[in-house]
Amino acid sequence: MPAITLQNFSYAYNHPKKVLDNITLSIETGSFSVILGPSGAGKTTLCLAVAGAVPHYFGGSSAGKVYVTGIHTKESSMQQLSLTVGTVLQDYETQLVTMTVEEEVAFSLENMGIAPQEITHRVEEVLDKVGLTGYEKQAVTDLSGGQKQRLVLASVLATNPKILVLDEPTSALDPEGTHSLYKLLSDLNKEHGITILVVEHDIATVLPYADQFILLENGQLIFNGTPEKVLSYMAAKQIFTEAIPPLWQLKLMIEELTARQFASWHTEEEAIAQLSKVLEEEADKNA
Amino acid sequence: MQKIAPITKLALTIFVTIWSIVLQSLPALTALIVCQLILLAIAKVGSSVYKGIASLFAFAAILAGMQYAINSDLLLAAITASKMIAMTLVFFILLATTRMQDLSAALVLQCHIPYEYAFMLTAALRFIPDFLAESKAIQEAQACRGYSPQGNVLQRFFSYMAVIKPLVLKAVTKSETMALSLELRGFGSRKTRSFKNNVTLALQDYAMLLSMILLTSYLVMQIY
Amino acid sequence: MELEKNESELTIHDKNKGGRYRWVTITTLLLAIGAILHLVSPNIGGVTPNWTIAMYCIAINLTKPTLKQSFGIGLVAAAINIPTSKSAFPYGNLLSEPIGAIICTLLVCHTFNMTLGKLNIKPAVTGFISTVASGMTFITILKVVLSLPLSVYLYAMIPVVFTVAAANAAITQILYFPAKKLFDLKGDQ
Repeated sequence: MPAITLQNFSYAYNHPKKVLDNITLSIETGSFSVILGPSGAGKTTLCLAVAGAVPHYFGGSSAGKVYVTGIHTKESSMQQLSLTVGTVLQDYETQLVTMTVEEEVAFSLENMGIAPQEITHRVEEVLDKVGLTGYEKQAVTDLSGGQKQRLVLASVLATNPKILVLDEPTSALDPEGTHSLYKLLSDLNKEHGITILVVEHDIATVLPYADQFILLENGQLIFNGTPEKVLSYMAAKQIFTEAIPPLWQLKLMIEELTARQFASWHTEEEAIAQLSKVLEEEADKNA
Repeated sequence: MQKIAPITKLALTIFVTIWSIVLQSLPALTALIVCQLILLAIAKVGSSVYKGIASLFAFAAILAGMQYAINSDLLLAAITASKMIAMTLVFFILLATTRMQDLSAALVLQCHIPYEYAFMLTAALRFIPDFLAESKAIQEAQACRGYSPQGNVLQRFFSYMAVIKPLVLKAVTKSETMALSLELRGFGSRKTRSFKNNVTLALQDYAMLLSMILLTSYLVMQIY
Repeated sequence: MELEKNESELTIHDKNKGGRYRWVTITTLLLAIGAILHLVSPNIGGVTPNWTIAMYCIAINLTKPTLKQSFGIGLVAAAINIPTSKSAFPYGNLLSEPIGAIICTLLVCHTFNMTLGKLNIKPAVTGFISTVASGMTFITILKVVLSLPLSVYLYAMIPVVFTVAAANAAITQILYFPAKKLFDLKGDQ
């Protein structure tokens, strides 16, 4: 069973201006999916639809269905869905509402009515998971941006969700913070089998981890599939080309010029390895 | 003092207030003030608390001065000021020795105040340093754009509003994210909510509560 | 995946669903601002506005809470300022702020439109009356508890209450409309 399924889903905050338009999509359990698209494409709204905030929080009007681990979101409640889907919003600082690190994680668990001893245990466990052990008593205000981001993640992970949704989690982080956050998400994905759905502008940073790209434009699903397929599609159809990472622009250009096909270039190292192998072959041929 | 349950300290606050109102003699009020200062010393509170206490004394002195200026009764003025100090000092004890989070947990668990209000209290305190930093940033930015806190009353008023308006608008935007996030984190069903904080009463709390009740009834009997 | 042939019509959801806790969060954040302004605000021509009252008046004008909720808002407003204020008379606030908040709610929810020409002056009116209500409660308690002479009350305290109320009326009026515009925006676009 897919973790997330959208069936002909449309949504408008203010009827009848559709922000999502007839989207049919399925995201496999245990996948690491990235939503791409220019601003105003409906990326945030798609995240909110998976979390149930659309339509439960925003009202508006909708058509079609969204299923999350088989639950029909429209017929469930946000509180019920919060047990399955953990959501990190774009403005993550405002998601932190308590005074200290451990209280922030405990807050999620207290909302569920978990017993105090169990809370202490789980707080310890989840802070370890995100690398914030030792910061328990620290004031939330004194954390760095990256640490705040990790704390929000911890507070969301505390309730053991099966799906994590993150809306542009790295927009306020430096490159190092971005890299370590994605490393952490990838670990959660691979080791704990959590399905990850993330909105990201910088495609290069997610290439090493993602296994599905979802391309939106003007509220419509343009294309979805493996990163490689989606990037090739974007280049071929000239859609949202400014987002194609330079490395892939190079790859696609070489492929077009030489009619040679490369495997995916997830990192610069992979690109270098493949290119040098090709160059060696060429050199051998010419020799 | 830090080991005493928040609810006991809340009760102490109320009792001290009753004593401050009931007591009419300067020596008795002075004794009450001295006892409270000793409690603060025992609790080893930080220097910022003493700064607050200093301004409390100053405020009380102004009140006494005003009163003396009008009806030139020195004793009455002194009693008024002492009452003011006695009943406000206890708040310093309460807040300097109790974490706000424990206090709000006690209010919900033992005084049955709906959780939303306790949440508002601690969350507001969480955002105060953020907004403080924000207001400084806005003030600096406005200064760069040529706003100055000079001129007549109205000009100064409007230049100050130019700092506050963006702050308020920021709060409105954030309130949407925060309300959404609360629901995404399962906030709401009060019936199933639990508390990690331990705010239960120990033997010492019962002992304190009992002695406070006895003292109060003694004082009330003395008067009536 | 199998595609359903026809896209179904959009169904409109309950509009009021959004923000079950919006009144909680907006009040929390505005009261936090009120508390810091209370700490850092310079006096303007000798008058220090009561920012806390101005902020909950804006929050109440925006969210129109129930009377029970506004009583709680008042208590929280008073409680927040106990640990953050320089010097005060906490009991006075614990009584005066709920009264101010309740008066404000009554005015907001149960009175007709108030306009001056084309200008809606309800925010200013609610800001002024709530501040007077709260301020009068505060000084009356102060007078009774500390047995202050009547002349101090009449000639020193009451004028201060009305001056602060005038400043608060201006603040509430100026800040309410931009806040309202932003408050009513729904969704991200």
